[in-house]
Amino acid sequence: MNVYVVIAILAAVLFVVGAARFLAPAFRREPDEALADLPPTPLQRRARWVLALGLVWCGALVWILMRTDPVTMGEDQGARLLFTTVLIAGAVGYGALILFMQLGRRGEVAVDERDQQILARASRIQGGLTMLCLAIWSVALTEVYWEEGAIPVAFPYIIFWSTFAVYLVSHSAGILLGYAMWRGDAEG
Amino acid sequence: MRKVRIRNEIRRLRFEHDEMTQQELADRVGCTRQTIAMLEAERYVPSLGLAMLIAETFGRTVDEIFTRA
Repeated sequence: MNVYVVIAILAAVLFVVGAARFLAPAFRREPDEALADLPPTPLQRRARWVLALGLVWCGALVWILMRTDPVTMGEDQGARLLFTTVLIAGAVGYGALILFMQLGRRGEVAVDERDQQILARASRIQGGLTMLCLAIWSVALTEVYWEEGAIPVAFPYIIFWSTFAVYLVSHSAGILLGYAMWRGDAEG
Repeated sequence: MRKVRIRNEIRRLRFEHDEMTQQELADRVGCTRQTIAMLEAERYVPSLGLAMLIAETFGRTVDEIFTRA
């Protein structure tokens, strides 16, 4: 095992420990009965739907990549077409869902000041997870293709779209995490 | 910044105002019902703007509703 793999494993362990410390307060806090039956906010409702769609979308992309060898994907036009179709369908569905849910909320307060604090935190989580996705790709591809000195041509395409998918899904996940993690002070 | 715990009289004032619901108060001040519930549970400290809107709704001043614990 070379030094870079060891560093990558240590970084992953540090990330897991950091995430556990970050998430711990949500599990330590005693449930408040007055807050148990609250309906979700419009933002929370939308984040749930968008996350569900995003996970289905990511699942479909992973399923295609597992059935197709990414190394030969550049030559397999059928697999490339299927991958691109799922990508576009997911992106269009994502846009339509956001538009539909905004149109369905006329007259209702969509985002208040507390939601804005949660959105700001979600953006930080989104940035962190997007960087993590890129770091995983970089370390993994560098280690796997070190001897060859180059990566297969399909990978930049897959890296971009997988990072884009993580970028979209992590925002909704960050919003839902923000509500779940609300600690109860001015900064949430 | 040091954390400051703020108590409030929102729940009592809602009941004194014809048992106004959390949703009604939320609609009047332009926030979600969850935020009102969080305020009442003292798990959210509102902005000065929201505090003033709540005070106006109940015909009180901000310091009559929000006090430092």
